[in-house]
Amino acid sequence: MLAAMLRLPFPRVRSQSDLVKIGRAVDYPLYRYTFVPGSNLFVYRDRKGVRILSAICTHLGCVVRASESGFHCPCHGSLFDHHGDPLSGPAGRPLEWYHAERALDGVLVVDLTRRVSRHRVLKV
Amino acid sequence: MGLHDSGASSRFPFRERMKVLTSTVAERIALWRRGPVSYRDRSRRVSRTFFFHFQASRIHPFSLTPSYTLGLGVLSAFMFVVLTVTGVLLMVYYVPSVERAYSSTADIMYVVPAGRYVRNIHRWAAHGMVVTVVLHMCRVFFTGSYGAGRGINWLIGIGLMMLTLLLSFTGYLLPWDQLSYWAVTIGANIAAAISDLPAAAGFESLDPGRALRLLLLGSQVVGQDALIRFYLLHIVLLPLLMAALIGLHFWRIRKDGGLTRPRNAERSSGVVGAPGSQLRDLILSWPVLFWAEAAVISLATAALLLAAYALDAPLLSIADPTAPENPAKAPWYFLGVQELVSYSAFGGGVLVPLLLSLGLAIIPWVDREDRGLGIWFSDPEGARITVRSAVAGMLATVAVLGPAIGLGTGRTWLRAMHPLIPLLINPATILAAIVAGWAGLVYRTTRSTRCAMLAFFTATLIAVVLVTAIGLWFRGPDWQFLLPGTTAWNSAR
Repeated sequence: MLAAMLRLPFPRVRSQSDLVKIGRAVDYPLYRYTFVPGSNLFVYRDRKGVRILSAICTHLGCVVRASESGFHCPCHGSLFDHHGDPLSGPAGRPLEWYHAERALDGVLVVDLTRRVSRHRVLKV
Repeated sequence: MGLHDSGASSRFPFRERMKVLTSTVAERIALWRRGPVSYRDRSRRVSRTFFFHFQASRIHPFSLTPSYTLGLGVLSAFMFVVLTVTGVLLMVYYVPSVERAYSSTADIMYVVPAGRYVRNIHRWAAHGMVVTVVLHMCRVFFTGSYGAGRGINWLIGIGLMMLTLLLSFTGYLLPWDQLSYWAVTIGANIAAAISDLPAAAGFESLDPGRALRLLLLGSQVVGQDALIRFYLLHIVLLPLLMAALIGLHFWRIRKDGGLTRPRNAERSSGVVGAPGSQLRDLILSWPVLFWAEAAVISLATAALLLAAYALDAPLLSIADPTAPENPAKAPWYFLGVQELVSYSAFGGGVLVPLLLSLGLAIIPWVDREDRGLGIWFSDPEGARITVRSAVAGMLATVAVLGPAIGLGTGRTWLRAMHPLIPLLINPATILAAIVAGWAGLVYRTTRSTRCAMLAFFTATLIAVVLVTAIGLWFRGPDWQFLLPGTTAWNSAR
């Protein structure tokens, strides 16, 4: 019974969905990181396709913003380069890249549970 | 012969009977008793009245010295009572749901009669309690009052201080504004940073931090699950624990023989420890102790009411999970930790706070000298060491944080090393090591554990104050180092 009581506060099912729909690829401008409104993701699009970069700082979870020099975190001053690699500040790990797929209606769906290499491109 | 002429009525007229009845009721519920005159009555008034019997019926006159206790223990307990009462009032309107938390808090501020006033009192009493609890710990430490068998009560006190901080932390998610959301996001990720150590050592699969964050938030992000958990912790679990520990704390004071006092305050110098010999030194608590407490409580009430009238508790814009404030600052008493985690999440947020708590907890068992018990700083040597340690703590903080701020905490050259090195060697841990080294040095020169503990506590205290001040006044947008006043940013939080 005690074990059951200890297990109770660890939820088995998550209330948030791990799949995020972020619209059509063509709506994102070329050769730049565009912040997706409502989800903490950047979309980078070039001639090869799109890649999805997390905007969550790997230090303590604030949201970074894109700037000339890369990505800045306002909470503790971490700085990341254009590939999401840490340049300075307390963050030790690079920003995450996520797996994306194209649904039948052409909308991009990002799977927040699947991390991929930065070179992984979704062809569109 | 009617009813009015019955025997009982003629002996006890109606008014007299009512008097007996009301005084009996008052006696039964033990709220107030009238007119004790004799010693026996004064003693019984305390022991037989619920609200008074928390106190001993006899105390040592030294315990009433205002410059000794500073009234800080009573003040802290009073703050808890104020927070409970105002907290229950706020619960009348507050709704712990993501959709309604912010709007119900705004209603309390702008619509509910006296809502703003009650919320302000709650907020400033919470800040006040952090101040009084920390100062109370300083008072107990510097007068050596953890000694003479009071180690357990010192530990309970450390627990109460942690509960105070946890209650503050859980409380500020509830308004669901920008401050709430990002403070708790950062706090939960500091808890998850425990896993940085196994991860850096190569045990990626060992992830206790993730489990801890899941327990705290009920999810991977701050949302409805987190709000209801924090609400539950804030209004039920932590206050109950706090009330229980406060009761234990008070009870231990009496079991430990009252407040500490210097040896020369004992008038009957004969057999120390024999109950009869000390009883002669004691005076009745009624009424002097209660007058003293009433004075402290009245002053605190006045200060709280004035603060609540003059200053509004902040309520920022509604939480936006896609854009933190810049800079996103925690309330002032957590800015020391925020400054330290800006060098290393694990070092500043996990390792150093753990070491500091452990260091504080073991003080009574490291120092068993009872040197200068009940005297501020023990003796002139202790006072000298305290002053020197304050200077040492100041120099160490500037010497460690100065270069760290000047050079930046760039990891470009650090990343070439093993990932364990920046986790274990960073400004936070270096500062902790210097403080520990200083305490060791003082022990080697004085051969006194009391002096070593004075060195440790004072240097730590000064370092904590300075680091907090840097986070509060010297950090601007993107957590950049700025001199105060060079840009306009809100440091009032």
